Parts: sequence; structure tokens; C-alpha cells
Amino acid sequence: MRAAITSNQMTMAGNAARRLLQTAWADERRVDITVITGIEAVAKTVSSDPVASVTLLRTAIEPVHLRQYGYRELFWLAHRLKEIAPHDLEFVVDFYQAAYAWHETSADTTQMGTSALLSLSSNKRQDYQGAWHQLEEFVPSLMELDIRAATQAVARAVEGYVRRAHPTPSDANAELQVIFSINGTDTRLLRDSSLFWFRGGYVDRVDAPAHPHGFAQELRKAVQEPDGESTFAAVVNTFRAETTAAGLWGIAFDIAAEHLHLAHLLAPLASAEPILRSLDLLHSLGTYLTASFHALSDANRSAIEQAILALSGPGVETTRSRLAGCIPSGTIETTPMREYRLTLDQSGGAPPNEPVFKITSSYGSYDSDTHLASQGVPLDAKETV
Amino acid sequence: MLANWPGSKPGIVIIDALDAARKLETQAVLREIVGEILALPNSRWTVVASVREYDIRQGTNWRSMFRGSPPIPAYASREFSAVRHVYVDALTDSEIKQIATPFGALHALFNGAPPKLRELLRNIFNLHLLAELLNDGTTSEALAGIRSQPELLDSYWQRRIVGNEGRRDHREMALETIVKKMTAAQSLQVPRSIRNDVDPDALRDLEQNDVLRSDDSEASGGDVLLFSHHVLFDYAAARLLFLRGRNADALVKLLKEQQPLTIMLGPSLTLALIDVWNAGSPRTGFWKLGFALSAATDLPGVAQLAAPMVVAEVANDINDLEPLIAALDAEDSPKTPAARFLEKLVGALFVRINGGMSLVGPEAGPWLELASRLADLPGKSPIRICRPIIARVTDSL
Repeated sequence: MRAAITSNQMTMAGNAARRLLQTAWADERRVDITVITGIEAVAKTVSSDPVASVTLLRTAIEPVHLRQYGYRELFWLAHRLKEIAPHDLEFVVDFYQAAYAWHETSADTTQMGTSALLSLSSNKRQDYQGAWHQLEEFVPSLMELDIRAATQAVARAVEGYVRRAHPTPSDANAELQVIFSINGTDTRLLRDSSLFWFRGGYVDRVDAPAHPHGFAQELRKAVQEPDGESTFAAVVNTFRAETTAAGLWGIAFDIAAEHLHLAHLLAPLASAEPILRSLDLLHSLGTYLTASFHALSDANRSAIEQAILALSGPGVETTRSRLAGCIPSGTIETTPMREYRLTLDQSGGAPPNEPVFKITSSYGSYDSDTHLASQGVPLDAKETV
Repeated sequence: MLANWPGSKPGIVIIDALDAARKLETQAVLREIVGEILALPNSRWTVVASVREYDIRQGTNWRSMFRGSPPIPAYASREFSAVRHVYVDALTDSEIKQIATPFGALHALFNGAPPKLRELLRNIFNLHLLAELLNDGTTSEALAGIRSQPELLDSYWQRRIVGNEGRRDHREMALETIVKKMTAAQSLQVPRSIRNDVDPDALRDLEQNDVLRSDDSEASGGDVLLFSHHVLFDYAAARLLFLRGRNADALVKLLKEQQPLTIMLGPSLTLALIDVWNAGSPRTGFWKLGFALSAATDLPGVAQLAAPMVVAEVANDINDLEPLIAALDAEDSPKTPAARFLEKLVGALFVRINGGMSLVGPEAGPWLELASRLADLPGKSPIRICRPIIARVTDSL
């Protein structure tokens, strides 16, 4: 039977590990194997002195260091978050934030392993993306350990991605980030263009777009547990405290639409103007209203109806009519909304709540006539027949 | 000859004590013969050879020649997992009981022996030596304090060579001449004509005391002398050539002058190192010798590894390692003797780890404490050298 490390030995191993990593990072001639050993050793001995260990490991996610060595180091540290998380969740959250705020794009070759016989190579970009894969894999465990930290981590990962990959919002002429108040508390929404990268069909499974899917899948399981409502409330509250991307808010609305007892937790959001105006959220919000409006309190229904009708500005009519149309007519609470719906119905009805953006495909025969027609050639014209 | 040996039944070639072949030429011939037998197509011959762990560890040729899986997992050493071998383990309590029961004094001594002596006696040669001492009339009380093989050999030496007849110098001078002759010839035997060079009475004493014996095999014609066990040669060389490790400069000078003998004298060097280690804390003499060997970079690797191997084997307290820590603290460079020593010590620890030693747990030695102490030194080299230890420990977490 393998002997277990004693408490005193753990202290000594931690001390040696931290010094090894400090030395390796300070070396003028960097030796990767020493750095990697140091990272792994410090992570595995984090219990020996969590503060000293994490303080040191934070070097790895400092922006300048990360850009220079992230492709070498991040994978190994991401792989060891399971050891660190029980001791320092804040570091884990910061790690997700840092890892997705930067993307290694270099295709410079890197060596995998040291074998001279079976020499395998990769590149910097792929090596860096290996860390993202580790982070995606870790989310379910992190959710089990601490739902707030896991929610923060995912929110920051997606925020990093959005600021990096989609800095221009899908809503025309809007700022990327909007801050609004709900019951006196600031709430932040990131207009993330997720209607293209998350709702639109193709999802980049390597980068942060992989997170909303995984997070939604795990959250759907979690809300069915006996403490599901408190879990969902924790997620919503954490989203409100973070700069949460619309794609993630959409997941919350989707799940609330599936579980009516959770719907009330999102009602204050459903009456917030920036949420109502978000093209990224339009479909999810509409679905939520259709499924759960009847389960909301009179006050909540009234507030949402008033907020929908209060939307103003150029081009807003489509949004207003579509959302109003999502409210089942028998559950309308206020007279102005009833009147608005009547007007809508008399003028042909509200637009259907369909995804704002979707990719479809079709197939058929493709011959020379089809090709010429696609190039604008009038096939029926006398001179081209 | 074997290829043309009449018959078709399986045959076995037995070579006892490969380690007794100290001469490079003899070793080469043996390797060649064994290699040829193993290479015979559709051979009916199996080669069975006995060898000490020390020698199989040092000789990569034997390891590669007998490459394969151990045939009996219950009798295999983890250290040699890629060598086709049967590991003759230390004697068990019941085996020792079986041997010692007819000999009351030995039985009583073993039963009352402190743990370190009991472990020592699990080696059959050591048990034999102790039985001889008891037979000579040495009291159990005098033997009960023995903790290591050099101490046991020292008791044997005191009894059989030093004696109390005032003939110590004659016998030691005779042995020194014989050991030097053997060393020069790279052989564990000398012609009886050596009597012309030594005190004949001393030679007679040594034969009577069974320190030396004649080889009465037909092959030698009874014309040669050899030690009654080759460990006695090793110990004689450790005392008479290496002066029990007490004169570091002289020992290193000797090894430098006789580099081809390093393998032959390797076990003697180890015995000398253990002897000087046991001379007492703070092991000043040992570390002086260890660093001197380490500084002699032109010595063969076997000689440079001997002292770290001893430390890996016997150190069980951080105090034993203080001189090493102090030396590493005094100068930070990967090229100092202390740094070189540490590097080889790490390698030696891995030899022991491969043999089943653990770096963690209540029974572990002071190795993690050493790494932690080195981490606190201002210099960078020591902690870099400790990387494999840190990796090994944390890999197991």
C-alpha cells in the first residue's frame, strides 16, 4: 500500500514547490519542464499554504505573462484547478476571466513530448486552446462545488470572449455594455451578438461559446434537485452582479420557461428596458412570456406589460408588437396592453416569435443553367437562349 | 562446444557469482560466452547465473543480455523489472530459525537482537560471519551492538586478523600485499608463490583462521589462494587500501591512479564509505570524502556515485545532511562538489524509489525536509537539482 504524505511533509513539499516555481520563472534561460513541474507541484500542495501558493500562481494569469507563456503554462494550471478550487474560488474565477480574455493566435510549431522516436508537434494556438478545453471540462465539478463561483467563472469566460471576438453589438448603435437598475441595484448586460454565435446554428466548441451549452445542460439538471430553486436564484443573482452576456441571460429565460416555479425570479429582468430591447434575448424572452406569464404575480405582469408598451424609439415597434404577442391573451393584466393587443389583432396580428437569426439549408440539382442564373444571366432572353 | 553437445534434452549452464569476475577481460569473456549461448538458434540451453544486486545495478551489459520479464512475480525486484531474474530475498524469520535452532547462541542472539542487527542478519553472508564469531568465542553481548555490515566485518577483523597475540601487523601486511597483488592482476586469487613476498607465519594464520583458503579445484591445481568469501576481499581492500575512508585525499589519489579498478574496488569503496559514515555524527569524515570524490570529476561515474548511494541508503535524519546543506549554502553553482553530490544523490534516491522506497509517509527518510531546507537557501541551483524529487512527491498526491 502506498504511504500517505504526512501533514508536516505536505508543508515541506509545498515550500519546496513554491521555491522551485519562483526559481523557474525567474530564470533567464527558461526551462519549460521545470516551470511545468513547479506549477503542478504548487497546485497539488496548495493546502500547505493556500495564500502563498495562490499568490504565486497568479503570476501565470498576469496579462503580460499570459501572453508570453500562456500556451506553455495555462493547460497545466487549468488541469489542476480541481485541487485549487476548494482553497481559493476567487482565483478560479479570475483564471477563467484571464484565460478567455486573451487568445493565442500564433501557429508557430511547438513540440509535444520529448520523444525522438515519435516526435509529435502542435502549435501555440492549439496548445492554448487545450487549456480552454480543460476549463470547459471543469465547469460541472465547479458547479457542484460552488454554484456562485461556477456562474461567475462562466460569465467572465463569455465576457472575455465577447469583448475579444464581438466587440460590436448586434443591436445597432448600442454600447456593448449597458448598466441598468433593478430595485436600486446595478445590473449589467453585455450585448454579445449571441444571436449569431450561440443561437444562430454554428457554435465554436473550442472557444467560450462552448460554455453556455455546457452550463445550460448542467443547470437544467441542477434545477430539478430539491434545492433547485435556490440554485437558480443564486445563478440569477450572480448574473446580476456580473457583466453577463445576453446569451447567458437567454439560458436563464429558457430554463425559467421550462420550470414555472422559477419564473418569478426573472420577472424583474423581464421588465427592464435593456433586456426587452435586446435582439439577442428577444426569442428567449418571448418564449418565457408565453410559457410563464400566467405564473407571475399580478404586479409582475403589470410591470412587464407597462415596460413593453413604454418601449420607444426608432425601429422598436417590431420588438414591442412581438413581445406583446407572446403574452397569452387570457393572462393580460392591464387595460392598455389589452387595447394594444386588440389593435394588433385587428391589423393582422403580432409577428411570430421566431429566432431572430437562423441558418437554414436546402438542396436541389445544380446545372449550367442554374449556375448562369446565379450569375445574373437572363436565361429566357433571346440573345442568351 | 555447447552447440555440438550431443543430445536433445534441455540443458542448463550455471554460472555462480558473476560478480566474482573482477577482471575486465574475464568479464568480457563471460559476457561473450553467455551472449553466444543465448544467440544459439533454437538452443536447448538455458543460462542461469547468480550475481549481487550491486553488480547487476552497475553493469548494464548483464541487464540487457538478460532482458525480459521476471518469470516468478513473487520473487522479483521492482528495481529490475525489465530483467529476467529470480530475486533471492533476505532470509525470513522462519528461515533464520531453521538455520539457527541447532546453534543455541546464534538463536538466542537473533531473538534478542535489536531491529538493525536483525535486518543485517537476514543476509546469509552476515549470518554466516556472525555464527563464525560466536563459534570463535565472541560473546553475544559484544555482538549485540552491531548495526551495519562494516561493523560486523570489523568484529570479524578484530577476531581473526587483529587477535590478541600481537601479530596484527604481520597479518595486515600480508593481507595488504595479497590484496594489492589481486588488484594489480584484477583477480580475486593469487598464486601461492605469494608466500615469498609475505610473512609465512602470517599466511599460515590467515589460512588457519579461514580468512584465506586454497583453491583446491582441479582447474587451479590447488596452487592459488583466495579469500574465503569475496566480501572479505572487499572489506580487506576497504581497510588496507582505502584506510576505511579516513584519508579522503589518499583515497581519491588512489582511485585516480587506478581508474580501471573502479568496478573491482567499487564494493570496497562502499564499505569504506559506510565505515566512515558510522564513525559518528556530524559525519564530518564522510562528507569530506564524499565531496572529495565529487570534486574528482575525472573519476569514473561508479566512484562518484558511491557516496551518494550510501547517503541514500543510510541517512535517516536531516542532521546527517547538514554538511551538505551548509556546503550548498556557501556557494551557489551547479558545478561545486556539493551540487554535483546533490545531483547524484537525487539519482541514487530514484534507484531506491524504483526498489520500493517511498519519499512520503512516516517511514520516509529526510528527503522532503532536505528539499524544503534547500528551498530556503538563497541560491537557485539546489532547488533546481531537487526538481525530480518534488515532481515525484507531487505526482503521487
